[in-house]
Amino acid sequence: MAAVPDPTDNVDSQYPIAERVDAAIDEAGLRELPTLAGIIDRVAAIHGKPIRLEQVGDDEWGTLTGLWVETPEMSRIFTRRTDPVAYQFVCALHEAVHILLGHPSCFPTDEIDDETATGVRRPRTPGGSLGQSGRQLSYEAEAEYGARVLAQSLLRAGDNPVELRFG
Amino acid sequence: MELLETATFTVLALAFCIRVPRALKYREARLTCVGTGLGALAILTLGSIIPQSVLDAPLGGHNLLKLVQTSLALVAIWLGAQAAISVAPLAHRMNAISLLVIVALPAIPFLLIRRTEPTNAHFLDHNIRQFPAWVYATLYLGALIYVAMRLLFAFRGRNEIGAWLIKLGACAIIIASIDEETNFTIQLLSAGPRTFAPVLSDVFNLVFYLGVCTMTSGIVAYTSTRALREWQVPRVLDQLKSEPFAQHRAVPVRTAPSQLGELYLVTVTTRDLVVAGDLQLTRRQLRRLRRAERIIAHSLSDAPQHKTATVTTYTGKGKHD
Repeated sequence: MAAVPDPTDNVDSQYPIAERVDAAIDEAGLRELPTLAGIIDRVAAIHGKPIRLEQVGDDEWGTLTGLWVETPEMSRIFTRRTDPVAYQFVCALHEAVHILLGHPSCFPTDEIDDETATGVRRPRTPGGSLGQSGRQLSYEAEAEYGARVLAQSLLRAGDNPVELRFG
Repeated sequence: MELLETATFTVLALAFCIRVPRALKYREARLTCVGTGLGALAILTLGSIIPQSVLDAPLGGHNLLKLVQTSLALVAIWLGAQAAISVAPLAHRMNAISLLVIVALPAIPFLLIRRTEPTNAHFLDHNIRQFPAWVYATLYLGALIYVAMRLLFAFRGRNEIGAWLIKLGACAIIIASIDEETNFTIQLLSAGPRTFAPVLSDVFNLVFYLGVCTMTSGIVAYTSTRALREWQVPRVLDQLKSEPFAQHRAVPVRTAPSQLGELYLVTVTTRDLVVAGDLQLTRRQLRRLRRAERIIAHSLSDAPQHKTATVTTYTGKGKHD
């Protein structure tokens, strides 16, 4: 079973994931945005195409926790609505970072039935057991690192903007 | 009614006091802090704590206090609405000019009222058949309804306890204002039996002050929830980190996360292991994980708090449901 590399292993070493992803996030100004909605909207502006965030059922998803499907009209990000909200955040952010970094499609997934099956697909699968190559794994590591950095920025001091004003 | 006014003042004053430390620390917290303070002052002018004659005397003793009271109430609710609107993704901001208009417009007809009687708590009821008094009341109540509706819409989609209390309070203020406007209009037109007036007036007082109390309780609920979570985070983090599975992976970010951020990383990593089938949690461990996930979800500003499927499209220029 091929495991998604831990981005920590690559920080400041032979494969500088962290530096590249941090630079892309900073260039997009995503750290200043206090909400997931703001981040996805900014990524949509950079990508030049609408991004649709969809919470869907999970019966057929197995270990798939997030999915990016690129169609000619829009980018679609799916998360499982039965997953905890906090977990869905990191899954949505993971897919958004794929889009931000311009990762290509090379991962056809026939297991997921969808009417827009001709599009680009990139799934988030903990444990990375779907047979990705080395390069694919690095894409996943970049997306996962970026997702966690963005999650940190959403949780920084002051936290929830509504709570900051009313709490 | 004096008891209700005193209770409302107490809730507002309490909310103001617990907001002050946050307001000193965070600029964003100042709107609601000042709003609760001004709200408390507005209630103070009702006379249940300090006699109205004492407060109205420096203003000439001819009920100018009523205008001060309604102006304070309008500014207070405007500040609360502005705080909510500032974080509502689709809401248009209300600028300072809107505040000036809202406060100044009712003042113009108020100054045209023939105010000959000395300070009286029922000054407006006694003079409502003067047309300027009715216009003043209508503009004031209309402004209250407008601002309360803006507040209500700014909280649309939020399901925290605090948000529900604030929305409930805003609804009560809207209902009370409509009731009072109906009362004043009937009196102006002399259209209904006089027995309706005290009933409608009592309904206004009851619903309005309960609404203010409920809305302020929402602010207190937000404050309490945050304080409780800040107390919980280090404890829940220690609990999770003491579990054997939490030792498996290092934190994969370069900058040191906050305690809440660290809790998030441990939680996501643990949930990944569970989803991948690499980790079986005991019931106690699962309880701890879920508790951590709940704390994090409440810390994320736009976390969907509901379980139904949602679809949101982001165009790069704002979201469209």
